[in-house]
Amino acid sequence: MRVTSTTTYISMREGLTASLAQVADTQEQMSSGKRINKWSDAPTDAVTASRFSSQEADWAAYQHSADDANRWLNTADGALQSVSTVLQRVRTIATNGINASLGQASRDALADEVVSLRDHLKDVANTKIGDRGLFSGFGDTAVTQAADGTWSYTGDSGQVKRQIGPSMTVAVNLPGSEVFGFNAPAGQDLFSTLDKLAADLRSGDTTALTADQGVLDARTKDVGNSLGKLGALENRVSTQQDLAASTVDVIKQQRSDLSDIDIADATLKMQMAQTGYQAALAAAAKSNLPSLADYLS
Amino acid sequence: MFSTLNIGSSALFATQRAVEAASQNIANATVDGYSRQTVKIATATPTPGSAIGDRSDGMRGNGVVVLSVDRMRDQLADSAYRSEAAADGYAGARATTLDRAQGILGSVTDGATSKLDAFWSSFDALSNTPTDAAARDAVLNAGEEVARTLRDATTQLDQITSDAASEVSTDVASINNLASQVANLNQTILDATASGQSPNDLLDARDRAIDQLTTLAGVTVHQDSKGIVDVYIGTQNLVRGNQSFGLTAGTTPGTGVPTVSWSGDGTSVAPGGEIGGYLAVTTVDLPNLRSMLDNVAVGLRDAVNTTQAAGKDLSGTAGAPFFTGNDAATIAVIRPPDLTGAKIAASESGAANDGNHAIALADLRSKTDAVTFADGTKASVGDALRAVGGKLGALAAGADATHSATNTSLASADKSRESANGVSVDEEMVDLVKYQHAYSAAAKVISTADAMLDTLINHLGA
Repeated sequence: MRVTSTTTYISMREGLTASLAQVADTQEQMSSGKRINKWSDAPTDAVTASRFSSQEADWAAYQHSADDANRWLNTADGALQSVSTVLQRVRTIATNGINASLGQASRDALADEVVSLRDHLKDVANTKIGDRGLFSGFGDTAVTQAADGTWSYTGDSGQVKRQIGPSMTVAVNLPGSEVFGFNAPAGQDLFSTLDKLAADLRSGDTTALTADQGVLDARTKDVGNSLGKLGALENRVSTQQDLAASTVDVIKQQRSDLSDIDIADATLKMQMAQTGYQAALAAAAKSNLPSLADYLS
Repeated sequence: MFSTLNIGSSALFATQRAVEAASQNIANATVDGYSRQTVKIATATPTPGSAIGDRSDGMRGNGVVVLSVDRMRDQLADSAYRSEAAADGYAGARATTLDRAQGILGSVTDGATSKLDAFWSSFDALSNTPTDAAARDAVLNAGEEVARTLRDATTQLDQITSDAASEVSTDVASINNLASQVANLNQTILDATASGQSPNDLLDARDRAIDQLTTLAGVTVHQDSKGIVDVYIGTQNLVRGNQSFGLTAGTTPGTGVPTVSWSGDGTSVAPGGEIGGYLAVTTVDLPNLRSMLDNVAVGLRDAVNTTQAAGKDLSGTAGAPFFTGNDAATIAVIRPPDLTGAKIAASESGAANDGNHAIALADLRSKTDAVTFADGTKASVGDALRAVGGKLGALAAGADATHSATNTSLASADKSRESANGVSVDEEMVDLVKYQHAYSAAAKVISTADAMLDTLINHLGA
């Protein structure tokens, strides 16, 4: 090929532009720390990287909900543990009351204790988490006593659900009707039973007291069952939380593998690009060779 | 004796002309599109010798003549360069436009898709605290962010289209100007050739104009035996002899997509080159992307509105529509009083404390048939948005790869053309030395003839 002045300049320009473009490319990757900055950097990988980052965001929301689910379940668990303790005490009181040798004055004292325990249980049943009733479904108050002394469940059967995974929801509340025996025959709910127990203690009716104790056992069993359910739910949520944590780690790792640069590799590439550019510069400087004109006098 | 003087002067003239050509070449060595000029020198036609007795003294030489000053030009190299120039102009226009277009969705991991993620997550947060007014407002804000991102994307596409349209209109003005230059040069060149001159520098000027026309519009050329060049776009003449036909740039009303038509009869032109690239991007690629964005917007609107309607708001009535608008350019969250935070259907049962329907709304993130594309494929809203990004990326990456390939071929075609046509300073220096010596020798011939005449005239018989 015939070499002319312009062909030399074309080669020079080509070499410089190409190697400078490479330097700019590696520098962008190094400074952003990402292999994929624009959609065109690696279209297929970019789509996958974006999907991973959406999954991260989704799981962050699920984890947040799971934490909230845990708060509900732990609070309910604590409340029912205290109900359970109270019911043990009430059972002891009933046993004592049935003892024929006990004086009426002592029975009256026991009855007073039962009434105060009943008030405590009512407070527990109406525990709030934030502004929400823990045992009232979607309602505000779980248990109310009417003016005529009858007890009723004023919540509903609403299930408070939390999404703790993709298409996975868990109910985090137990309706008070189930926990406190409002599903049992009329007058046999926990609070009416305690009222009846107090009344029977005052009247010293030991036969009735024995019957009351039977009903009380059934209610204690209800609370026990509820505690069991809560425990199972807590297990499920914490298993899911562990799964969420490890899933997020895996996704993060995958996304990083896909879209972040390998520092060592990128440094090497940048070094190579810079060396290439310097070589092109040196070649350009040298290709400005003297011509015959320099040697003619 | 006088013929020696004549021979000497013909050599002086020829070598002067050759030195002049070499200087012109050196002066233009770096001028774009300059072709090296060479002086064709030949022996002059000899005259028959006079008779001396019965013998002739042979043909008498008449020195040297300059036959022509030629332009070194390789037509093949020209046509190779021009086809690369047209391809490079086309690819360059597409690559720059699509590179800009891929910015419409923002960055890969923090752009439009992350806005959508935030929208879905805001429903999750609402499901946990359905009575919290702040959580309800957060949903409205996150929804508006998504809608705005889609609207911004279309605004940017519009901007890119209108910028391409103004590029096209500038290019069309240059094309018209160049076409009339070529037509004028055709006439001037014809006149010069008819009077026996070689209009080399004018031929270079015409080739330069045709090079530019090729880059801009991918024209083809046909040269007739008289050296007249006709220029075509497709099968129609842009230049015929000394006549040029103008183009008119316009835009399609409504979409702003650029159009190019013949000024004469208004029929449309399908040019190649740079304007061909702009027309292809704005009439095919960008509208495709835009319709994909429209599909995403409609899919998002329908999915959210349908699910809203299936739930109950804070007051227990069925949920109001959430998004309004028929495409990506108009999608928006409905304003109060038609939609307020309280009207978000977070509740399944109607109870205010019930946040379960917000879970169904959040779950729309994995509704895999929410968006239907023009080709019938279905995707979730997030994946559909990613599909737009992937499409943008693939288009931009493809156009960029094509452009760097055409760039390389263009540079090599340019180089081989320069190699055929260009000036090598060394060659010219060699010529200068060569003709300088020839000039000295011719001068010596004249001074020798002069000395001989002097002897004859002044020293004979004295």
